[in-house]
Amino acid sequence: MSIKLHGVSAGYSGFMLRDISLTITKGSFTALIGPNGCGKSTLLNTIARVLPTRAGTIHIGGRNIATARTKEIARTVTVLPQNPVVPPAISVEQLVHYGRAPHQNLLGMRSQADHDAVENALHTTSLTDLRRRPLAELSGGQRQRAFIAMCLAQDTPYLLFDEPTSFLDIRYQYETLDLLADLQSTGRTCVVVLHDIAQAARYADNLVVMRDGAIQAQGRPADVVTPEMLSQIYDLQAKVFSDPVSCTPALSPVSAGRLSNLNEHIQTSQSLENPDAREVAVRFH
Amino acid sequence: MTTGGWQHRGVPAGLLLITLFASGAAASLATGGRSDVGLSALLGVFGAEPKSLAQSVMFDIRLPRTLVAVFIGINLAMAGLILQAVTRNPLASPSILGVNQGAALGMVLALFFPAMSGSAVGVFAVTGALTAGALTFAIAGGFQGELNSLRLILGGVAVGAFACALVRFSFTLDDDLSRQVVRWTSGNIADMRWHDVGPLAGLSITGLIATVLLSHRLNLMALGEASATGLGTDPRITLLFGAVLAAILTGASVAVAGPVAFVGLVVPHMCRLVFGPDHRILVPAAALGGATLMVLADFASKWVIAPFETPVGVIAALIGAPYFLYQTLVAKDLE
Repeated sequence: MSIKLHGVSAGYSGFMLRDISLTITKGSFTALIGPNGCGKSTLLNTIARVLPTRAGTIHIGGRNIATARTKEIARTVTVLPQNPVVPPAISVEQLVHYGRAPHQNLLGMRSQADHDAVENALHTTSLTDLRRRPLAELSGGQRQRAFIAMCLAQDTPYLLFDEPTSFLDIRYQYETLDLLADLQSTGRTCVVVLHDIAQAARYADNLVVMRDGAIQAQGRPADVVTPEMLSQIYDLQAKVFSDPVSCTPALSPVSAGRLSNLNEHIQTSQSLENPDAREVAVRFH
Repeated sequence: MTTGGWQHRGVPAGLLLITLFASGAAASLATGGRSDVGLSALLGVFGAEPKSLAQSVMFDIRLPRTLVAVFIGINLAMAGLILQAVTRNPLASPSILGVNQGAALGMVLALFFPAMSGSAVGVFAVTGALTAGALTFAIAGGFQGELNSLRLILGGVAVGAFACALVRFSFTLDDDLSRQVVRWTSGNIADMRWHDVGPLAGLSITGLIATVLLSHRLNLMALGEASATGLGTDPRITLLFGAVLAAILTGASVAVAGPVAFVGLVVPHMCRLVFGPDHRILVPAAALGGATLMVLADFASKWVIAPFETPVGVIAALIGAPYFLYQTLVAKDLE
């Protein structure tokens, strides 16, 4: 019972995923990281069968998604797209109810189980008070939470989220990731595209690093997040250290333009044997 | 703030719409060339044999005509509602996407072959509607899965203009034929008889049931292709079913009454403002709204310059165009 990709090629005409083989174990928290345009979103959407597979096979929970019914996949996997279309005028509650569609009949008739799942999802995302508000009136962060609530209402064992923390301020970023971690602890499998490598390393137990439509590295964050990887994948010179709170890898770039000036400044100051220079430079920054 | 307040408006607005429809239908039935024939002639019209003259006028002339107006209203409102939902474009409608004009061209082609009659003409109209719709979709990139809103509208206008030009070209060919085409392209239902009602009613009712079954899928389409897929409905299937259904409904109404513009655009809009965005409510509401607009237009067409008739298509445009202008200039939901 896991997500298994074997020799998968997929993507748009101008961009292709090349020969991807990947196993995501059940109950894991997998973060897909990599530079812009590396194919993270394409991979996520291919697993959810939002995009067609051109070669290779994808099995989710032992079921080949190429032959499964769309509704059957939707009861197994929920997908939060990167830029969900915001339907004008519909309320938060209606949106969250749409998450129940795969469990409902053709007309979307609501059962008690549907109501319970929606209440639960609204509560979990702290949207109970906003339930009657139209989506168009919400802030970007509230809207993102509404879409997350829709995915929660779908109540699937596998969750695929494409940059769920974008548009969110830092508090809600961590709340969202904590929520995903909670869901993982109830036995669900989370696959999440993240931009922030430190966040990815903090929450995921499995990192998949992509570049140019292929997987470059995979493994535990402590093994994967290294200065060598950052330099090879992101062309970024950075120091990697242990996050003082989570004890997971965090990083600080050393080559960015402004900071390199600072480093020069620090070096110059140090050469002048001024012990306070480093602190001054940091405060100045 | 609650969602626009339409949860509370729904029931009274529905009752108002039903009342409006009933009065419109009554006015349409009560008005006609013979002012001595009133609604009272409707009493016992189905059982009475032999019929009085007034009953005959009511049964043979007015009833089929009003029913045709009802079904055309339903067809065009459904077609507009479906097209707006599957393209996620509030401007989409049979006339804007060129589907109406395509059906008209198909119909004109059918008129060229004297052997064509009855349902064969309908088949031509539906084929024209499907072809025009498919062309517009192709221009907008709909078959590559990347439907571009602006190109959809511009493509529709181009396809519509081209079909319209060919229809006009037929005016120059043969006097008899061109008179027929002119009369018919202005949207005229004055000569409707029972044999026109049957097939139209069958298609309308089937189409309405199909749209009701499609309604929740139309809701999910509003979330975009990715989310719709993620929620277990293949958007390509919704798009295909919806577009074909819209073309058939449009073709069927054009085959009977000629192209009637604006009903398919305006009715879904008004209904969304009043009843909210849920298609499970919108589908019956828009069907009733379309029928109401058309019976009112039919009444007006008999009444405005009585005893002469104004084609119902002209009246529908006279009602629809100002509303559309108001929407464009004042209301915000066109984005």
